[in-house]
Amino acid sequence: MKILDVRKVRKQFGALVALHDVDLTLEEGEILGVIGPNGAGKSTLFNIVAGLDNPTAGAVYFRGRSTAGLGADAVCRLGIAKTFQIPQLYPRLRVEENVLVAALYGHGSDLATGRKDARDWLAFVGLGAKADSPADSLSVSERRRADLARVLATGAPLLLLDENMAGLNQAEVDGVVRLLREVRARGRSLLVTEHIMQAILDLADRVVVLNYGEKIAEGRPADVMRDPVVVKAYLGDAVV
Amino acid sequence: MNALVDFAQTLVNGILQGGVYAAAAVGLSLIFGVSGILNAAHGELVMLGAFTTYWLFTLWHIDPLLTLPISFALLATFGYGLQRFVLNRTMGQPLLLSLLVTFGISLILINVALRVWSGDYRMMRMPYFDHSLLVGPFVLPLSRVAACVVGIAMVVGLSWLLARTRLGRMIRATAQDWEMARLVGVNPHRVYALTFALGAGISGVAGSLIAFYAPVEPNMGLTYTLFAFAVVVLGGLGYTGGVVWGGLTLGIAQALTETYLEAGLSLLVAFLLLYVILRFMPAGIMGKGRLE
Amino acid sequence: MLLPLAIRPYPLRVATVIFMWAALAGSWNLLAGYAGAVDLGPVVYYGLGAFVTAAGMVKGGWPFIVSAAVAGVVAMIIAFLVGTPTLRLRGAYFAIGTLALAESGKQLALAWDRLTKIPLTGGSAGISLPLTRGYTLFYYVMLTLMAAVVATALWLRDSRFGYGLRAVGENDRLAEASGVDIHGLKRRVYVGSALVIALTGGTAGYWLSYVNAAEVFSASVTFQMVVMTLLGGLGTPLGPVLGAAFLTLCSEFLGTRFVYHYLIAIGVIIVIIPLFLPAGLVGLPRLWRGERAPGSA
Repeated sequence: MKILDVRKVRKQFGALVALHDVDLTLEEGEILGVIGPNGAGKSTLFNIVAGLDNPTAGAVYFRGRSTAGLGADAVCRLGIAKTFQIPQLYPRLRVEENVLVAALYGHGSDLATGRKDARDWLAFVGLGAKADSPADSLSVSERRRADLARVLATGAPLLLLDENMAGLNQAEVDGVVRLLREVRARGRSLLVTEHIMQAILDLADRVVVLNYGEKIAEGRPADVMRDPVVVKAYLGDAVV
Repeated sequence: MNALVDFAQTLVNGILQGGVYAAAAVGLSLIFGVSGILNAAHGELVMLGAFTTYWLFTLWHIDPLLTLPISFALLATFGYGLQRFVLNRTMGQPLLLSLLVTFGISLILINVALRVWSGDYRMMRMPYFDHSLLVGPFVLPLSRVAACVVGIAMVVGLSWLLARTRLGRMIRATAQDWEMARLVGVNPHRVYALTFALGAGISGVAGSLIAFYAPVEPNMGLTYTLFAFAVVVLGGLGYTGGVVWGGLTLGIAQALTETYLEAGLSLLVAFLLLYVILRFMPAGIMGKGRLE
Repeated sequence: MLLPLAIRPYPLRVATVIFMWAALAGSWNLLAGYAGAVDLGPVVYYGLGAFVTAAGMVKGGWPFIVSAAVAGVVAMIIAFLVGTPTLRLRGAYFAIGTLALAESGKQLALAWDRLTKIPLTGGSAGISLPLTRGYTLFYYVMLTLMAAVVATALWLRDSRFGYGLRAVGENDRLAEASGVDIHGLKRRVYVGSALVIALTGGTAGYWLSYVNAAEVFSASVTFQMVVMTLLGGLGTPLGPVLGAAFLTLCSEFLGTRFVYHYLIAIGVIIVIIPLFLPAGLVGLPRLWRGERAPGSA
């Protein structure tokens, strides 16, 4: 059974069609990259899969179960968690507590287990030393890592990473790629969208390309990136 | 036939009252839309305007219509000072802070007024407002007509100011994105102060208009604060033009309640209506309000 | 805290008043300070508690404890029914919506006898209850209510529910995306607060031997709860207690002598404290030590 099945999802804002009947599937333990030029609808799609928005038409199935009508919290508890493009925090709580909430409510742990898991995940993403600091003292890249720890702590088998590596340098990107490979090795499935192509090439098993809300290509990363249709979508007619 | 006339007269009453409600609420809407401040002292601005007109007329026999610009000037100055010296410190802080601080200001204003003017109800007696217009079968008290007309004129005037003048553009820019506005040379703090001045001035004049036909006393403000909230929400939070619709809805709902149910229930109907609209049509009757 | 019965009536009465307001303000603080939902209509449960208790004692002939218990249950049921749709509102909308409900409640109570022909509220005249002597019962009841609220707030600091609630208060969208049922949590707090507020109202009505719609549904009750919490320290377990004590003592020493001046002074305090001491009185020790006050810009 596929862990994720997105069927003919359509999203319309009045006359503007953000997503045109998009189909997408993900196998258990797979890492799927979703790329496309700005405005292609990637974030809209991610929001719909995570339950933060509702499709105008079509449906999303998680391990065979429809997510229709479920609020964002129910979808998270069901098994899908997404990072935020602009990392979010509970500013007056400590970093550990920020991750703790996800462990308590996403995963359903009790307080003692949740605390341990929160600290473990923070150590995993390299923020162990910052666990007791106030959340608003984190730098932007630290916040992204904390956000990653948060979705990991929810225990969700399917993680959606929405430009989680934005603004990182090469070494940092490599570090996150290694982390995510480890995350997959531990049994999670990942849906990743990035503008950093190298990361997608290194990480993804398969890639889907969106442009103006439509899927224009799908396949292995190296193949897709050489596809003239894809190149044209990114760079325009003049180059091809 | 009589029933139809009664109904129509009720509507007329509602419209006349609604125009005044719109004027009494537009200041609150403007200030909330631009500065994000929910002014709990709004009704007291109305009260002060009412007293201004009352005293100017009673002590110095100034024509009530002439007191309107004076009322505007006084309240606008007061409002400017209030924003600049006190409320500017609450900008960027959560809603609760400005609500609390303005509540404190309302306490001060009510009690100073009680101290200075006592709690007596006072009514202006103006010979030429004592007449009523008779249009067909309908009775239109002149004082209420004047109040409604001037009130609506103010709302229209404000809309024009916001749409067509430089000040209006500065205000709208600051309301939409104050960082951007700053980048193009607008000083947001000054704009907030000017906006508050404008809102306070209009509320003051609304109070003056109310003095034409209703008694004036220091505690009258609370009801108008609540009504203003209702009007603003009915019309759509942040959508200044909506106060006309909100005012008319509230005025007509009240008039209908007074004619067909009983006067004591008009507040109940008003608040239930407010709750229902808030819950089911949060963008207001015309659907143009801002959603959180 | 367990002042013996040997104390003279006057301090006992003042203490009881402080406990009452601490319980009320503390209840409001749970929803507003921890869950971040500013409710401007909690007085509706105060009035409800007062009237149901009074009705139980006067019409039903039930003893106080029974009447108050019934009032508490009725308040919780109504809070659940009302809270479910209302708690979906956010921010200013929630504030105004709850205010509208409270004012509607007041008008309904004033008009009830006339409208429904069920003599319950006594219209604008109100209901009288049997007189009582001494303050002991009320002292202990208010003390218990206050203790329950403070204990709950302390428990919130280190419990699963507490973290969920505080997450809602800090960033509810993030909490929701992390699996927190924000509506459900808020509702539980709302209903729990309604219970305490109703019990307080019922006790206060019995204590004063008089329940009147305009007073027990008055927005000034709500505002006192808000002001006391904000002055004492929003979102802290002891803030509401400090605020209640501060304002009650001010009222006792100043209020009886200079009614208008006192209110003006309170107004000035309400304007100044949030601007210069955003963390409330609770933040004073920190300020004194020169550290940055929590919650300030």
